[in-house]
Amino acid sequence: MLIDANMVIGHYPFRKSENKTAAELVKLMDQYSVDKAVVSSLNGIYYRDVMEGNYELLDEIAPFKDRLIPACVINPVYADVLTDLNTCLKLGFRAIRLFPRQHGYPLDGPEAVAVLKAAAEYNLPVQLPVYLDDPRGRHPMDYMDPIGVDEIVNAAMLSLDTDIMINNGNHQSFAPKLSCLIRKGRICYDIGRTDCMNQTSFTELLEAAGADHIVFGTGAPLQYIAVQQVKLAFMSRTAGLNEQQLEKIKSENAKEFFHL
Amino acid sequence: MAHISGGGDWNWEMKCLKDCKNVFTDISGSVIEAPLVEETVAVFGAERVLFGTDGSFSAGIGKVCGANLTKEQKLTILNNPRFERYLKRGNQVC
Repeated sequence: MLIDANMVIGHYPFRKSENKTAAELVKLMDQYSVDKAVVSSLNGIYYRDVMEGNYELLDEIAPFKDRLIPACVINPVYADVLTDLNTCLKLGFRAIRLFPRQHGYPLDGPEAVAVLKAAAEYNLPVQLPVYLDDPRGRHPMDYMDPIGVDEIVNAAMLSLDTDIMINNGNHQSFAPKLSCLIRKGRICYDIGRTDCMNQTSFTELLEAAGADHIVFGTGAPLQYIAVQQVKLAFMSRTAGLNEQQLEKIKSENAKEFFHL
Repeated sequence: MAHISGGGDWNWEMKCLKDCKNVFTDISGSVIEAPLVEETVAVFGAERVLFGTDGSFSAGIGKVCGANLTKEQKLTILNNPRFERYLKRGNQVC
């Protein structure tokens, strides 16, 4: 089984993208043998009230409940956020995604930490997409820098019980700092931005995090799924991962993290 | 124009150079935004697109494999006859 931990549905405002609907995304998943994917609303990130995007997402993915697992977008500095969180739990969302740059708050600030702690109480894992699109080619109105290493480390230290997944990140920077923290909550990393064929970067991630903490994640449809498929092939043929470790990365770690 | 996936506004770059028929590009670089390769081929034609990685090997290979192009277009990128011309030209200089 192959589970993609990081997909989105909807329109991206800053450049052309394809396969924006749930039906198109599932077709794309079929093409690359992705069995299930955790998805959030791309539109919702840019709505004043992110909950509108969360509701849209549930409607959109309703015909594909067996394939698409909903993650809600939460804005910790918007009105009545803890009620939003509770609502999302009741509606069946399986994870929270935070976008501190887009919504204008520090991840290690009091509002975000309150959400991180509430997520732990609700047993909802939190995903932190470091960025949606490569910041080097960004649109002038997209002035968002990636989430920084220190900010994530601080937030993780302030929410010791929260399960956190870092998506689309430069994990050679993140993993060594995060893996040495003593915390009850789990930390996971996707392979979206780690070049596994560059021996050093993947080996560094593997050594720092361990195969128990690495998941398959593509950032599709904004990024090519096939790039991550190449990495899986490399892991099994060249990097020396055994079948059990590979299965953890392909699906088992995600199942555990998202309580699937 | 090397390195179209090297981090920058590739829409801008392609728009500037699309009419310069003597300008070729390669897809090397760590940017894995879809549909970058399809857009590059749509603007330049596969015959003006070369394969490259800049050390981002899985990105380079994955982008070509994952692009919504015909087999012929992919093979043209991966084995572009333009490479041979460049190599011959280089040998003459040496």
